[in-house]
Amino acid sequence: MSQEQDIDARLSRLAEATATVRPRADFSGRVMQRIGAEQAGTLLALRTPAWRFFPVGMLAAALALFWAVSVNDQVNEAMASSDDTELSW
Amino acid sequence: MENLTEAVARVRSGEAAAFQRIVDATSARLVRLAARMLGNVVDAEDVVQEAYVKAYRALMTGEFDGRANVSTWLYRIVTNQAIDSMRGRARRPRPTDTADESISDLASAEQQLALTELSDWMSELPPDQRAALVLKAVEGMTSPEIAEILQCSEGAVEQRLVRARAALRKRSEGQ
Repeated sequence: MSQEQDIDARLSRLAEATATVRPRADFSGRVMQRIGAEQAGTLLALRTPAWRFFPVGMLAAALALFWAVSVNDQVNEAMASSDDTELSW
Repeated sequence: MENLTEAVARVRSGEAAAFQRIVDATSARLVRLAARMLGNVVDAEDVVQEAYVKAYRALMTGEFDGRANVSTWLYRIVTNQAIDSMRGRARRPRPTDTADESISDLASAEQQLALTELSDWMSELPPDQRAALVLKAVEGMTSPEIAEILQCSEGAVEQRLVRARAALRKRSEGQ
């Protein structure tokens, strides 16, 4: 038998001997667990940048409250002065 | 491998559970391929698991557009991952006792012996030649299929096969 045939025969024998190699029974479950962690990581990564906007959001909310209170005061003052006004017909 | 286009479309639309179908349909062949390249089932499972995570990310980011054949694409990811693992191993040789322990309880004694024999026999081949030879002579793929997986020309595949065989011949002459 030539060296080439020898190599082919050995490769063929090893292919046959390893033809039924399989992963362990829980392999698919472990992979899906990793995929689940990956998915959770993606969601967390999406949520994390939102926290950066929290102080800006708080400031915007405080400014909005201040504006609402001052507008309310102005409206109250205007209504109070209109009570003193006499309507002439 | 069955047609997985529908499962891929479902995963891409955000249904992560559909990935299970892809894993169930492909894991046996992919782990066998990686084990034949790496010489044991534990390392093969690690490599294939990483490959699945990469594949999932690629599906979610739209990196894989679904036009290529899913099986070929997965073969490509696993092969590249196995080549990286072989290169890493060459830099950091694994302790022998850990390797022996890792293959116990996973395959029959015959399979363990055959995987070890294959790995030892090809241990001196560069990872890309080893991958080409396993895909051709052990997995039974054609040169165009291997070229697609290794993302090179058919000529480059043939060249790797010739060099790999020459190295194996030289090795047996020396024994």
